[in-house]
Amino acid sequence: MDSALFSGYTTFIYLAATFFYVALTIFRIERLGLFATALTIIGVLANGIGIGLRWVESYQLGIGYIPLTNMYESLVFFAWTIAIVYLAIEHIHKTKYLGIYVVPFAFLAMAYASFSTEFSKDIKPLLPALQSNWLAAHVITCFIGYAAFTIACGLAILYLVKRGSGEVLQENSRAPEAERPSLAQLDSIIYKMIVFGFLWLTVGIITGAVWANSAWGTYWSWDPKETWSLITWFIYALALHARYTRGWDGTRMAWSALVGFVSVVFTYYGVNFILSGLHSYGG
Amino acid sequence: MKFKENPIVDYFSSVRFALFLLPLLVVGSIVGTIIPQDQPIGVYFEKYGQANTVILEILGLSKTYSSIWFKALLVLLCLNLAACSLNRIPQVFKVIKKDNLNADIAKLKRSKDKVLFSSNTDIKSAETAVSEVLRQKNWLVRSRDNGDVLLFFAEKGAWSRLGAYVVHISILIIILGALVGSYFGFKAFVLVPEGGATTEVYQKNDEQTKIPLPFTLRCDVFGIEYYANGMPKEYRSDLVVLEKDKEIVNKRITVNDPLTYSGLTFYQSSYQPIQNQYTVEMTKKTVTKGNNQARGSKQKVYVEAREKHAWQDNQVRFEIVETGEDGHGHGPYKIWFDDEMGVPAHFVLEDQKPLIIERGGASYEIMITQRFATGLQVVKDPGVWLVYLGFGLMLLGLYMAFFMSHRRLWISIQKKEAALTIILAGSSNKYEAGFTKTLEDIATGLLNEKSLKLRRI
Repeated sequence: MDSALFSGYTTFIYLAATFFYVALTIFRIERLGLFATALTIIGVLANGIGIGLRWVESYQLGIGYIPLTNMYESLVFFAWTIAIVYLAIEHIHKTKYLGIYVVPFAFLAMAYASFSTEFSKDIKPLLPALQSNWLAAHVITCFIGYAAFTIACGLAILYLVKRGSGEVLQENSRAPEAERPSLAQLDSIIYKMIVFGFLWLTVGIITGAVWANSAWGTYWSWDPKETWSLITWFIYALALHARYTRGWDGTRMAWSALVGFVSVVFTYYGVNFILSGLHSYGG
Repeated sequence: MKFKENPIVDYFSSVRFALFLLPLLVVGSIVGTIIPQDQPIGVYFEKYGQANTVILEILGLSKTYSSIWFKALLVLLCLNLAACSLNRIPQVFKVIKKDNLNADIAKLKRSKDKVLFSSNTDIKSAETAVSEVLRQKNWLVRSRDNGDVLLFFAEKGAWSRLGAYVVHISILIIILGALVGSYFGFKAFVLVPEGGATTEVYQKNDEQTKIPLPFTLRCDVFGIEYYANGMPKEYRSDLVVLEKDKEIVNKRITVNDPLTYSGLTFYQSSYQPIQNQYTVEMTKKTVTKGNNQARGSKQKVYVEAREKHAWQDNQVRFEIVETGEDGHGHGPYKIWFDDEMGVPAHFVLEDQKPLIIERGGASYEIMITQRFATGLQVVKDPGVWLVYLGFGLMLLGLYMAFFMSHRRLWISIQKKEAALTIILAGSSNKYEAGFTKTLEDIATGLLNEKSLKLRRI
């Protein structure tokens, strides 16, 4: 049993879960939802075991470190965070009709991690700059933020789809289970996810700055990754302020979640593969 | 402070202006990540052509983040944040400090979240019971007898209303810290050879400017450790701080573990092999008869290759006659060795691998290492504590703004004919659904208090 095998399982379990969430949305049979949730939970377990095994394997190779140090490992962790946060939302809001817009992201992250040839999946020893206790704090906080923004984006798509099909945002409206959540509930979840993500992104940027200062003596050097994380932060700050003072909810908030997500993807992926800078080892 | 009189000042201190500035900052920041920054002008010529390069230089796009317009945007954002906060904080304080025991009973009756009760007890025992229930539920309660009505008030999280402003002020503090750092601090660089020392460092991006150190910094050893696959595992320097020739601090620094002394921090930043120079360490062990214990004397010298060197009263002479390439660029070395005990001989050593030479009554342990100079980034940043303070405040402020709410509750007890009318009402500035539950919970607590003999109406 090795971690790569578990990553492979995880990919297919998330795919299967996605199918069940799609089937639930089409056929509206509650049992399908139970399967979907069960598969997602199994996926989370397999995903977690995969991460744990990779951790163990790195120790067996004599270079032990928490597996959060390159594109492959971060994608696997990203998928895990998305699925965990999603399960929490499903539990809190007692609806399974959101899964179809969220679980595919966990699947895509795992599939990309498993099948891409752009980056290495090997466990390589850590460069001196990465050997720091800040590594785990920085990566974990950033990715919790990214996961929350990803979920906000998925739900924003759902919002826009529902809005496009003629539903109207009514305050405090509640819908029957099969149509849940109502636009008002969706709007509220999207907003909460953005707030949650914003808080974690802030912690991620701060831990990154403190780390940079302890390794290089500069907490901010406008390197592309840093700059893009700040751009993302600005975009969500903008959306939140527009909501507080201009009443940006509903459709405009959903579009903000989409724009913010594009920025997240660029911060995470685009900077590594399109631009170059301090975080180049992230690839 | 009030800026309301002037519509222009009013605009510049509004959130609307912030919503105008943020997209500009976003666009400006993006431009700076697309156009390569701080390159020699030739790079831009090649990439964008002559005409475009001129435009680029005029707009300051080769140094976007230190350009006038980008700084201006940041200054405007700071002013906006400061004005916005100054405008609103007094109003927020008014809400926090408000005398809530003045509340109008009619208003309480109209509030969205309320529960009405009636009771047959007397007002005195009702007062004790209500205080007790609220105390059990961790609400610090105050009360006032307004003649015909006895009013209780309790609140939680009033200060959380300041959360957003704590965040805004934290941004100002971080930027202030950055300014303090750039005006009163410096970033410099210095190369110190192993066994060497320095009393000055060189301003970054301007190597002509020397900055004197208030002490002497010596590097004893620089070392690189490699993983089995050849990747570097660790860069380290053994540094010593000397004042008046006295060793004050001794520290081995690595990439994530710098040395800080007297407001200056030294970071392991780079290294350079010194051409044709090597560190030779030799221990001579003499075995005395009847006593098998070896007695050694260790010495370390820095030598050039292809030159004869004498060691310990000229008894030992050696020369590095050949140097090779071992993949990292150093060793193996071929040495010529003579100790007057036998025939001079040649030996081959690998870099950093000790070799033992047995010669009659003595044995020699020799190790040769490439001599390095360690590259140190030297930083003085008296503003960094402000930046960190700002970080802390920002997190605190975000927590206050997003996860805390100002919850207020009132209980009025009014005598009406023979019975008491009790109103429980409350409000929260956020998460109203959660607060409704809290209020329900208090209502249940009151109902369960037998001495109150409450009935819900």
